[in-house]
Amino acid sequence: MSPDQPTPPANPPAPRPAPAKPPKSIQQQQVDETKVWNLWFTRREFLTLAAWGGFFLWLGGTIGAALRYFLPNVTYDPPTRFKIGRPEDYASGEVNTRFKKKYRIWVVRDTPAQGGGLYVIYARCTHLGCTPNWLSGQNKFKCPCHGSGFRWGGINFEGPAPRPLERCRVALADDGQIITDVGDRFKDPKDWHRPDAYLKV
Amino acid sequence: MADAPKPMKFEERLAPVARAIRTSQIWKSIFRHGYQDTPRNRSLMILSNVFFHIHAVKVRPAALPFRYTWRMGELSFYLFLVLTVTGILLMFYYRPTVEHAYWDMKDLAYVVPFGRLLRNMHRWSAHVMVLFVMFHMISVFYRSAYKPPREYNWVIGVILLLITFLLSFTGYLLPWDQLAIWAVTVGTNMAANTPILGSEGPLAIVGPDMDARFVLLGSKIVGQAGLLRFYVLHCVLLPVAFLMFIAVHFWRIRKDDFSAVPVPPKEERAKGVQPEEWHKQHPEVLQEKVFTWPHLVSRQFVSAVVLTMVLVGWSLLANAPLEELANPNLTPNPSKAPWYFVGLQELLVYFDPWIAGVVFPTLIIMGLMAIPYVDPNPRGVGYYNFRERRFAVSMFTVGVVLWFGLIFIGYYMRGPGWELYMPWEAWNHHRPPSSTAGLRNTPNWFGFLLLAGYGALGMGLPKLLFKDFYKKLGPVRYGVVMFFVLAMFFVPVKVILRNFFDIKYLISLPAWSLNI
Amino acid sequence: MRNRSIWNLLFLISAGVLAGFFLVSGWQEINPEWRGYQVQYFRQVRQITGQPAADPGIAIRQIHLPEFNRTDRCVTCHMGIDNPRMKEAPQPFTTHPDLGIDGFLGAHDFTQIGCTVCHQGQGQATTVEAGHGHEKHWEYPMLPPGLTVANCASCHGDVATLPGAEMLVRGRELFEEKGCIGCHSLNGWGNPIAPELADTAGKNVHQFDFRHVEGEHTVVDWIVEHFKDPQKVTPADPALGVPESSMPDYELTDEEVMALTALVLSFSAEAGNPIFPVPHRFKVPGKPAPEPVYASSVEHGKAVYEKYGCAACHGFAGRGGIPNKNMDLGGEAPTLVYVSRGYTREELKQVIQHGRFPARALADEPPPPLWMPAWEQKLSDEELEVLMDYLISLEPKDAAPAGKEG
Repeated sequence: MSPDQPTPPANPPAPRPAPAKPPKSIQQQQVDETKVWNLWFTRREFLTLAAWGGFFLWLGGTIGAALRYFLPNVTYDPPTRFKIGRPEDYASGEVNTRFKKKYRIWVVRDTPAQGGGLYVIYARCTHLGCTPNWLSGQNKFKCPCHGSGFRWGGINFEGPAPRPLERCRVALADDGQIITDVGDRFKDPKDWHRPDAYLKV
Repeated sequence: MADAPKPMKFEERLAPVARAIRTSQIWKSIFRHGYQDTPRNRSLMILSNVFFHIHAVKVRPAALPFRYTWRMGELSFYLFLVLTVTGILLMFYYRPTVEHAYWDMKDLAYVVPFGRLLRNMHRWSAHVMVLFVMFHMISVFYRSAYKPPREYNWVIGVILLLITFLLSFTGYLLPWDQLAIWAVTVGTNMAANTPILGSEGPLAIVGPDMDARFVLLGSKIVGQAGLLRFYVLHCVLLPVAFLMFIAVHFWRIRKDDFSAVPVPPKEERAKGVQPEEWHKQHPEVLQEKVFTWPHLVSRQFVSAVVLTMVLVGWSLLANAPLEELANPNLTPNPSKAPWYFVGLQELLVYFDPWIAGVVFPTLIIMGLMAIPYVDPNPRGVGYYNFRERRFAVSMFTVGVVLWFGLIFIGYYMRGPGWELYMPWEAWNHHRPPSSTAGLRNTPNWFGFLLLAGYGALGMGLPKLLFKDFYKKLGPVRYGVVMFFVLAMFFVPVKVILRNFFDIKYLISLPAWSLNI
Repeated sequence: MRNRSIWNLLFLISAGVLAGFFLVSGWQEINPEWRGYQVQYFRQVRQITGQPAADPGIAIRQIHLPEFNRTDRCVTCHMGIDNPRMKEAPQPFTTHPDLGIDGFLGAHDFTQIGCTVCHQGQGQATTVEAGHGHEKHWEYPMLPPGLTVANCASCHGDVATLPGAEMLVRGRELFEEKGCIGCHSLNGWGNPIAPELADTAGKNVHQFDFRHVEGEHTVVDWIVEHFKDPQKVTPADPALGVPESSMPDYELTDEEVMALTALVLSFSAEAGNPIFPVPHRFKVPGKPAPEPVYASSVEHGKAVYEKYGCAACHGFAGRGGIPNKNMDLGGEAPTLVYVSRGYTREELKQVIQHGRFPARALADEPPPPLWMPAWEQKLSDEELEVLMDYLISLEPKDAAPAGKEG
């Protein structure tokens, strides 16, 4: 064709199609999908979170187990809890020496005037640890080693003992017997009013 | 007459033999780089040796003099090695059971060759190591070698101090004699007084079969379970932990570069020139370094040999104590904790067990760890300096004096019943106990006001009087510093209150076992 | 460089001293104390018998007794104890006394029971001082030769018929004569006025007060001196509120003191030591004493008087003379010689059954340490009756009847 000849009017060129959008990335597709499903994380993110979460749960659990490992469920300590008969076995106003040799305790039952409580005194002198004796005639506990004297109930009043005799924890067992724990003792007379320091009979 | 050829000297005869050995294949396969004293070989001695390459190839000469570090750090680690070797040897004859432990100690003393020496060396090295790590920490502080970038290493060091104490404490139980069982009883009773997690402390939420003491001992009493746990802690867990932290400690020493810097010569110092300025004027002095091999290594070696001589001599002369077989029914009077804890035991005179045995040790550890982070003063790194860090040095010195003072009192001046005795006074088990009849508690409101006043004045007054100090630290650091300083001075305050004013507790809430 | 020469010097000195220490330590291992004794022993054997010893090795010898929890190395130095030909040799090489097969050692094979079960001491030690138990913190020093008999009671339940245990028998006689059980308890039997005797010798040495003991600070020495002068060894301590010992000074002879000390030691031996048990198969139980036959009720009553230790307060045969500080009526526990005059039989029974507390002489002084216990639970009816007969018989026959003095 010569440049001079006017080109016959052609059909107007077909409208160019709009430029194609670049293809969507995987991530963008995922994001769109989550928007569609109204979720706030992707599946990948969820699985990643779940996996790490599971790992840390396991790790935390293992650490917890390791700590619990150091608390044995039993110990081989010598026993300190003993059953010592029924409250009826003990007369009112009496210091009973039945278990003095076996468990190193006296079982004392106050008269109603004194309050009527039943409690257990640990037979260890608070001076240097000897075993005192109950002298019913003189109404006192007397230590043969250096002469410490303790009144009814265990309050020290003579000799070198610095503190009253200690009392042991008492409770009623299911079979009606008194159960006492010589390893759990109350040193301070103020603690003697606690409900586990004496039994109301 | 012609001179007869001189007979060859002995050394001259030896030379070809020596040369033949040194050029043989066997020799060269072991001693690869010969002993020729060249700079290259000096470097290789350090670089190509797995043990020595903890060191740098060259160090600044300021690090060499004995009085710079007193070699405390290196000797502490050396003592750890001595303890490991002697400890492993002892393990061949010691059984950690209540039936055998004590009698095995007797056998070590009487029928195991060198057993007595070995056991003594183990015991005395342990005491010396505890002392040396304390000296090491003190000398690092006085040389400002904890300041940036070395803060993290200081914290690692405090952790190592703690591990050293625990190693010594767990080892203390193993002979299973009266000294062992009762010292550990005292120590673990302090654990039982931990707030919240101890069954006898304030705000206790666990009973005695679940508390901190139970975890330590595996039981409510110091018995077979405790002996086995302490044995495992002492021989395996704590040494492994120690080694891990030592590795980090050494790594950081290298990474942060040795802190030793030269100080200006006398004439300059007399003129008042400070090291930092002098370094700026003469930057070449910081580059002056000498070879670690032989200069540093030789000093370390001789220090170690001298220490070994002292240890062996002492171990030959003085037997480590072994008292009667452990008897849970007979409490010796007095029952003292090991010497490095006896300062805390002395605090029990003035504070309840949860404060003396738990709160104060925790504050000490935390306070020590905080030091690098609350000290913004960049001066003094690498040399002993008081003038430019007066506050820091003074406070630390007060703490050190207090610590060792309490140890001295608890160790030498407390006798039966924890009564006060002069160090030369003989103990009298029948001396009537000193009267506590005069002691009284202040009313709680008064005590509270006093404490609040102490805190307020302590926090407020320095801020007003030393504005510069406050500005330099900023409010957070200032608050932290003053908190620890006030806590530290509370000890002598309490001592004075009790001894001169007969005051026992400022605040007394027996229902919660809370007394201050 | 000055510094360098200091370092060099230090190195030289310390290396040299270390080498010296090694030599010293090595020498101690090569030439321990016991080696000399063994070498000497073998020499002695060759001298005396003309022949070398049967087992001539130089080594520590031990008797390992896991059941006893003991390991005795005494035989390392005492090599001649089972060699009858060493009778004339000096210690430590001499033969053990009474070696014969039908003698003491025949019945007590030391390879089965060791040495320390009888002699005490520290079996595991290998030096003289430590082995004999004279080591600080060793609680069981070797018993003095005269007191070894006390440990017979570790195995033998009945020492009365044992040959060689005469001292224990004598001690027992004195024990009953003086009525120790009147104040002391023994395995729970007796009275609570003074400490329990079965665990006295087993106590730790720190539990004794040695301020007034002149001899060695050992448990044995304390017991010996306490017998000699109770008030000296356990005086009053007013600052602590501890009263003086109310144990009478019996003015015992040395031989009596030793017998009683051996007896007290034997009580602990009998009670046993949980650290050093005696296996059951070695125990020789005592035979029960035959029922005694009494010629008369008075003699029976005398036996009751002794059995319950009445002499502790009322003296031998009711003579009295036992101090009871701050007791009214003379500061002494009453004599019983004339008791039948002051009391009817029934009154006497009442006092004995229910006890009595003496009144104080001075109200602000501590109460008297001795009192009459209640014997209701302890005396049988028959014993009470014969005791009455005995007490009534105490009045001397030639005494003037009451009210008939001029």
